[in-house]
Amino acid sequence: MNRLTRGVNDFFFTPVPLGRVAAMRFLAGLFVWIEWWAYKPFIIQHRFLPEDLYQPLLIGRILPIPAPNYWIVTGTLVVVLASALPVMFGYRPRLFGWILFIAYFEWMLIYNSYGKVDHASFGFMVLLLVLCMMPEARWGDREHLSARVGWGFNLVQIAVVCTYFLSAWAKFRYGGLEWANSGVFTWAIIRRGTVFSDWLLEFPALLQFAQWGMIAFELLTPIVLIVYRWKKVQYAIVAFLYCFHIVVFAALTISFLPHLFAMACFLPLERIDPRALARKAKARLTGRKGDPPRDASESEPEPAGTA
Amino acid sequence: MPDEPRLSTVRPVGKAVRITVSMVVLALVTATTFWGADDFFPFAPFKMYSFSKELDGWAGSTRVEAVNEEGERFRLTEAGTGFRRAEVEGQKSRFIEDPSLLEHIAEAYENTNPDKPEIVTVEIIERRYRLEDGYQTGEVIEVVEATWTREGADA
Repeated sequence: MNRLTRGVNDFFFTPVPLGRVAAMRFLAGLFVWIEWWAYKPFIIQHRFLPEDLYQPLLIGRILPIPAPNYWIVTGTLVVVLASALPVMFGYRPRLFGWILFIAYFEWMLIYNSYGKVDHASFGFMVLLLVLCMMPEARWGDREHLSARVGWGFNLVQIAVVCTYFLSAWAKFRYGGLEWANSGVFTWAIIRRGTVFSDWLLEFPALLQFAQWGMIAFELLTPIVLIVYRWKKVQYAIVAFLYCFHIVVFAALTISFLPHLFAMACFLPLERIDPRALARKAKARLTGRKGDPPRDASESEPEPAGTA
Repeated sequence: MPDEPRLSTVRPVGKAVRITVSMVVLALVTATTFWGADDFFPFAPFKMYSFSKELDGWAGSTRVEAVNEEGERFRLTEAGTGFRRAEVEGQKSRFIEDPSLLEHIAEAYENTNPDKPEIVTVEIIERRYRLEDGYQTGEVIEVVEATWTREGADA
């Protein structure tokens, strides 16, 4: 194998432990359960909108998708929530994963077909799609590694990075090169500022500086993909991205929540094993009688004869 | 331990297919960034807050207000109608061109709140803040951009 093929191979197919699949399935289902009532409650409210306000997207005009009404919206939500449960807990996750993906896609059409398209869900939709193609998995499994899973999460990661990187290019396209020198953050804070951001209106130069910082940061995000060999660097960058979203949420109450759930696939979630954690907690509560030594209980259950 | 393979790999053909899939997704979402529009969802340009706003001029904030049968005036929010401010703005040119479409927002409110008094008037109002050199001057104007009143109602 020459260097290029090896590089391509490592980039797309670095094996990932199956435990991460179980964790991401749980998170994906959890988000779906949170979204409809806490994060985007207006989507279910769309069941009350008259058809005249429906502005179908291209895909809604090509495919024979009917205009949403009371029962279509309600029914879609019921299917989404019902199929998310078995996915979350790993029961026939592929079958229910496909049902969830298709129903959730219709849910996204109901969401985005009334005159405004949001851009926070791209990575999450890719996540739901690749989860359908991944094998059954259990929490905390660091034994079994899969290159297919590695490819799937790599695609989600590419989608997550596109959400930043390409949004810088969209700013050049729609806002022009003068975007960074314009009053866009002032405008954003006037529209949806909070106690944490309203004071910034007094300092337009600072906001312009932040706009330059934003462009630079978005253009640099592909680094998080390139450093996949150096996991600690990668985790640090992902931590920075989460912090960025906390700041944006404090300033403008824009949270990009589905994007944040999708981004979790960068993290070594296979290290979380709820059963082991429960056992440990129980052992601690029952007064540590007959406890194994502490560091032994914290080490991984390695099968004999493997290194 | 069962005889499951500890590492599952992908055959060369499978690899080629998968790399192609990744590249197609990347190509589509990149292409729509430069030549596409929201219409191509899910491959839409990531254009949140991508427009330039003048440092000298007006920064606008849109809202919808309604008057009900009892003469009470109130804001029609997302929670009241299920129709978001961004959606109002997205379809604003339609509403300005044909204000009678605002009746559908009243309908959405009445569907959501069947027990509340019906709406006789809907207005789209933009509040505009004057900016000079990026600073708010304190000058604010309000413009009613579109109005609909139910026929026969004395508004």
